[in-house]
Amino acid sequence: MIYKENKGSFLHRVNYGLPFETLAIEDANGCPFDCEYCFLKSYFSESDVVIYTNKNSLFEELEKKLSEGKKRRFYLGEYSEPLWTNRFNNLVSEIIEVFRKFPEEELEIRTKFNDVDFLKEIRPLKNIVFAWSLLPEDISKRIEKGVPSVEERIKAMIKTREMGFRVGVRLEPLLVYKGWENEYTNLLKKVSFVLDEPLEMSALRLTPSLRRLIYSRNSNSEILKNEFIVSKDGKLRYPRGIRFRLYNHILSLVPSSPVRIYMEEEFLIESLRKYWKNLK
Amino acid sequence: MEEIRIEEINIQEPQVVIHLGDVNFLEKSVLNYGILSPPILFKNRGALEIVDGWARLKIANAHSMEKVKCQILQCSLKEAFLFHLSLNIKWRGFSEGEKLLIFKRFMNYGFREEEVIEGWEKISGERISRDFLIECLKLYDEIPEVVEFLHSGKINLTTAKELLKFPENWRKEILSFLRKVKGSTGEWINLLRLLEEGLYSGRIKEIEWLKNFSDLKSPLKKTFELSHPYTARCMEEIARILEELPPNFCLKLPEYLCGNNAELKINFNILEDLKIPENLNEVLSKVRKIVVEGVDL
Repeated sequence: MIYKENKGSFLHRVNYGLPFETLAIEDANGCPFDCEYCFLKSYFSESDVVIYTNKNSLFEELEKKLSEGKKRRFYLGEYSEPLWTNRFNNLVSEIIEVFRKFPEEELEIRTKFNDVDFLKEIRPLKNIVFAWSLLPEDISKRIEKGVPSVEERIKAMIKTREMGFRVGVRLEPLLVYKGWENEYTNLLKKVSFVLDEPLEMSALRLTPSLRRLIYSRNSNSEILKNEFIVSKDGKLRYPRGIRFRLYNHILSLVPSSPVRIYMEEEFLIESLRKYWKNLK
Repeated sequence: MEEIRIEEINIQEPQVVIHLGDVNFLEKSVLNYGILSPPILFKNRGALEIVDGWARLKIANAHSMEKVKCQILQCSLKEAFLFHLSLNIKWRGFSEGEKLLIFKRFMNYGFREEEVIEGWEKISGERISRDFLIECLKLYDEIPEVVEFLHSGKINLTTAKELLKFPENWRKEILSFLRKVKGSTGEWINLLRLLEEGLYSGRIKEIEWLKNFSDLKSPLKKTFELSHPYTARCMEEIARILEELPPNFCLKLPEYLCGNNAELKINFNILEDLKIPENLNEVLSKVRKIVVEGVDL
């Protein structure tokens, strides 16, 4: 792990294709886990986790942005694993306090970690959602190395929910592999207790350089066994028909829960909306 | 100007000369009229090196001429190289293969990347990016055979750079196919991207079969079907649906529903007296459904 000062900006605009503006907070970069599909591997030059030491500058920049009052969604966890780095920089606790002053602005803390005990000391907030990225257990064991098991993550979700925080599920990335339909069915049964919160999902996307990196690390990677097409943004995605069936299956499992699909072609979402009224 | 014995000049492996391919195009002129324009030389660590006039000196040497009047410059190796490039770019230009050699030579002579970019811009008027330079050097280092292909015009730099995306063990086979078959840049890139997809996904295990083709159309089709089986099935279904239209009604779809042709674009010419089939809307909505929703997995 490396501690250093961030000389650039802490906030970055990210295009999730959602109906509100989205900004990612970069308090650290890099992740201690080793998920085969993760873009961070091809994104940052350092292989270690870098934690920025100039937190005051981060808070200053963040508060300035929040004061604009544009009802944006901010993400913590786009460039790092926030609950894991919190052990070292205590940032989650502090950032929650910043958001307490701006109830109209939303913060999503996206994680795969399971250490949530520190939240006991914090008064819950309605504009903060803890979102766990989940894959079905079987594929997670194979491609998410070092990450707490799906079972452990679900336990952490239950604890967090019991503490009064909002808890959400992110199916990110949605994967097609042998037996995916049954496995996603089982997974969604296990997390049905949080499906009052919008479920958000996006099918796998790879940059060509990430695909080459995955191949060079594991030429038999399950992730690469699928068919991809190059989409307009230059990323590799499953063919549209496969994505349609993937989303359609998930939507069929949660017909009465609010669902959002992000980073996806708008006309594909439009086509799905014709079938599913719960798709926001 | 000095009269120099040809044997004193390094003609076999000149240090700064960049010249691939035939040098005998001046032969008739040299034999009939002698060397009209004196070669330019410089001294490098005591040896006489050529700045300009390598082709002339090579012909003179081959025809056992003993002495040639030359101009000798007092300059460093780096200066001689820049001078060589400036002179040659004016009268013959450099091929893409030679360009790769030039960039490599710049680096070997100790120019820094920024100096290469600036130096090349001064000489050629072409501003290249640092990424472009790095990619060219990578291409030279990793696939040296590509210099010859680029020089002969069999492929261009855009296509050659696509080769870098393949793991080393695939490159040789692909290059031997490129050597054999003619194609446009667009066709090459399409083939290479389809191949890349098939190889990375493991649906294409080996590419020996490419050897059996002497044109590009058939391997393109085969590579598409192997690398994109699902999309190929969608295409087949669409072709079947289109058969519902009258045979004289021509409707064109993008060749493949992959790549950047992802959106459904249907082109047909509006001609005088063209009768729009009654089932056109129905057919188009069926096609659209396949394009968006696909076929069963």
